[in-house]
Amino acid sequence: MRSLEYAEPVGSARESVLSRLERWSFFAVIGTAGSVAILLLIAPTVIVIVTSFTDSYSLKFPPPTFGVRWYAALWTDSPDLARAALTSLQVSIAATAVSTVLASVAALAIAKRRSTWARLLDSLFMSPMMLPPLALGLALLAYFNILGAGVSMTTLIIGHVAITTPYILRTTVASYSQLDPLMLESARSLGARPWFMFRTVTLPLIAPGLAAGAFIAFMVSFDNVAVSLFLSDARNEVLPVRLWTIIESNLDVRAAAVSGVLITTTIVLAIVMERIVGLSRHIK
Amino acid sequence: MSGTANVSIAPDQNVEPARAQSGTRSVATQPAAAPLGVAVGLRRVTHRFGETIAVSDVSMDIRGSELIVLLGPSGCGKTTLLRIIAGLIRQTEGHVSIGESVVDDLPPYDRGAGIVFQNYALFPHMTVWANVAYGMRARRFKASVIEDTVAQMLDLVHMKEFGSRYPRELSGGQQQRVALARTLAVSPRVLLLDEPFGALDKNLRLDMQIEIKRLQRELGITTIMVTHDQEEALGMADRIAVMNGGRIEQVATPEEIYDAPSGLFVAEFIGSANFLDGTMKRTPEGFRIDLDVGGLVRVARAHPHDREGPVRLMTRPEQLRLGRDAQDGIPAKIVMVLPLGPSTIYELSTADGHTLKVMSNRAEGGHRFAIGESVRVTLTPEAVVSVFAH
Amino acid sequence: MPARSKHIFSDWQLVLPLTIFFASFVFGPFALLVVISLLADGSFSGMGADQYIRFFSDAFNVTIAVQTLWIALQATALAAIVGYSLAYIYTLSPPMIQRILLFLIVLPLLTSAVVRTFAWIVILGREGIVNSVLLHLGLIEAPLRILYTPAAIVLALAQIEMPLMVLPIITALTNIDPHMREASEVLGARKWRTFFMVTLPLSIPGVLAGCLLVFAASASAFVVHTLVGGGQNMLMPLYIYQQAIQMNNYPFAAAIAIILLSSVLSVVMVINFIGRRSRGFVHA
Repeated sequence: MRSLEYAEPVGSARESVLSRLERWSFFAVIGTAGSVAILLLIAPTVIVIVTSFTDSYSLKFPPPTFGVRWYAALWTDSPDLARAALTSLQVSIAATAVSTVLASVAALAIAKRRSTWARLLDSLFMSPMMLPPLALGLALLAYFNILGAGVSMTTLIIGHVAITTPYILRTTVASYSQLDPLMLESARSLGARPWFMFRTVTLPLIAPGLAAGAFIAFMVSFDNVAVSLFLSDARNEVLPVRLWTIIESNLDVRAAAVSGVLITTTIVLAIVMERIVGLSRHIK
Repeated sequence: MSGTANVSIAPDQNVEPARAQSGTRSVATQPAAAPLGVAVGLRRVTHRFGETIAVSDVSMDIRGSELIVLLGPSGCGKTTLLRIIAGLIRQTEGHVSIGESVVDDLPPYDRGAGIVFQNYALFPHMTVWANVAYGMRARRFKASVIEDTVAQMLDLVHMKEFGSRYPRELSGGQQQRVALARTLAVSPRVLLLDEPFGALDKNLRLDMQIEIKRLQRELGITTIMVTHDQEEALGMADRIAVMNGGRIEQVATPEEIYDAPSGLFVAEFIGSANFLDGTMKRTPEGFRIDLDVGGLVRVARAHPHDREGPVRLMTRPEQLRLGRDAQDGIPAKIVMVLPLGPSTIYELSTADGHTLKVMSNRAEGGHRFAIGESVRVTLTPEAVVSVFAH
Repeated sequence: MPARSKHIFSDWQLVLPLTIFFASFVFGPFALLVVISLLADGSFSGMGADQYIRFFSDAFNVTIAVQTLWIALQATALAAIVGYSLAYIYTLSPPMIQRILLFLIVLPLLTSAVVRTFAWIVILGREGIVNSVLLHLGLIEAPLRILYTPAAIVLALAQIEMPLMVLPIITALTNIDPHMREASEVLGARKWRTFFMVTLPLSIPGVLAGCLLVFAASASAFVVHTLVGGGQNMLMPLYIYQQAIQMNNYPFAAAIAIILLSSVLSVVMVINFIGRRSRGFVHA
């Protein structure tokens, strides 16, 4: 018998220097590039927050002295911003509510279908996400002008419904298509009537997806500038537009404080939504 | 040889030493002179994923040129062990050696192993040709060598005309052949197969099993295959290592595994088994076992357990016979008859509800029993049964 | 699946509300926009391609269009490089880090563009970080004018739209069968080769999807263009706004909007076409 095969191994083979170098260089480059990317991702946000605590009247970074002057200014000295914030809330809540109803209902029909018309409708309803919001804003403005409706809170809300529906549609369709069809079949075979089944089985199961979509929709609406720019006037100014104006015209430092508030609120809301509905479900 | 041999598996472009020592690759019709393959050694290999132990204290010597099968239920650690040998996982404890050196510190690209996955993992964005050439290009072989070898390899697996196709255009069996060609193209010292036939349909499976066995013999390449299918294992392996819960239960030839399982798990896992409890006593001729359900069995040897006392007896269905008037036979009643062409399977129920499966050959003639009949079950004369401690 | 409806309402009844809404407030207005762009002047006196001819015959206009697309393209390229690194780091990270990273990547999408752009004003302004650091290090004597240059716009766009690039690439990378990388390594390819020959090609669909989103967003990014570019860098979104709101020249504004839309759409279609061809290779 060949006893050589059973011989104990004579020594350890070591990875060659070249091989080790190659590996380390790979991870070094990836690590550096990735770190730069992460830095780039969050540095601006951090900078804004730090700047918002400046005590001076300019946007010097790092701030020479710190204080909460500008947050105080928000509280006491900014009726325009407060008004704009209120308007934003009203518009966004209204728009989200309407588009939730419209989109979720449509989602139920589209979700499980593979037919051409379903897919076509799906793409059509998704289009506002693809097209420049500016174009939509202009189109709606011209539209309402020609209809003689002019610009108002209602037209603003309509515009926001248009841009928010795609998001709710997307998440609700995704949520609905993950439902096990056999479960619905068995519910039906047990004698559940359509409305009852919808209320007790379907709705609770798609609720997280729907809620996530509604949340995203609300934020998108609240943050929107392009459409609001065309469809609002001095009476119905939304917060982002107001913000844009004060930055563009005179680099108002209050903008830093507003940004700070908005960022913090968004983070808190996002964490809450993550806990409740698992927000990370929109990797398109 | 020095203690720190720097083993790299990229041979010179112009000379292919591995190929030279394994004989010609192309026609290879000299079966008997199977060249020497490389041995693989495992010493106390243990691997933990966090709290879970996937592989537990495995030591094994795999001989050069043998086809050894790691067999076991899913979750038994066989795939983990395979990946450890490939270098895809660094084991928590223990040593792996390929050939003469311990390879623990070597990354997968330096170990000289080749692996074929269950889903083949062909590169979808490359042609068949490019897939097979991939390893050689990575090791910077000369273009002419690559050309020749790819042609040779594709010929070897009967895929010569498919060079410019893409993986998505191929059937499952064809993809597997390309995966094999790709792996063999770089002359691996050890071939690792991870459930290679799982994705194929039954007829194709048999063909591919024969094909791979033939190739393996021709090339003399040490091969380690992982499967949960015992028929596959019994059919293809030179030796089988049965694994359960991260440990090796038994390493032996297929015959030994079948006829002389070393433990209850192996006995139950391989083939069909009838278990009967009883008490064993020595006799001048060997042993006798008085069964709890009635009847007794006499054997010349008790293996693996040969001490007197309570035992569990294992017999294979083909080792039992039915008769009407055997005195020491086990009393049982027929509950099911399955005529399967050349053989008939009887399912019987003993007094205390145990099930026995008995297989009888039509060729032997004899009586055909019917459901409900009470019979006595005895051992065939040649039967070698297994006795386990109880 | 049988075409039975699962609810009280049939399918077409479910999609009807949203369809009506879209017809009235999205497609109707867009159709109107096209019509308006074909008007000769403000009154409905005649139809024709006058506005388009006017646009393309003036070098000033053409420069604006080219500049808009060129900046968007540069931003997309930059975002691709940085975004890919981030996505790759994500795939190498343990689950805990991945959750944090995902949160950080998604958060900007929920924040207003104004807030995120404002950060760049703070960074690139005369008293911003970049200038402060350079002055401090003695590399320059007077603050550089970084803001209001095309380069600043590209940089700001790349960072602001980066999440749109990162998410599809993450999806693409996580969808790659891990056996591919393993097979490559066992065959003898080291880290760099495995990356360039296997990982990168197989992730191209994700990269293209990201490029598509970033390009579309960058070309229409009104807020970034105006706040970071200022009045000196006139790009199409601002041009549209200016012509419509300030000059009341709706036909011309509509034409510019349609041109912007079409340019973005054509680039999108080119990218889609490339994507379709490469996807064929990726899905074995």
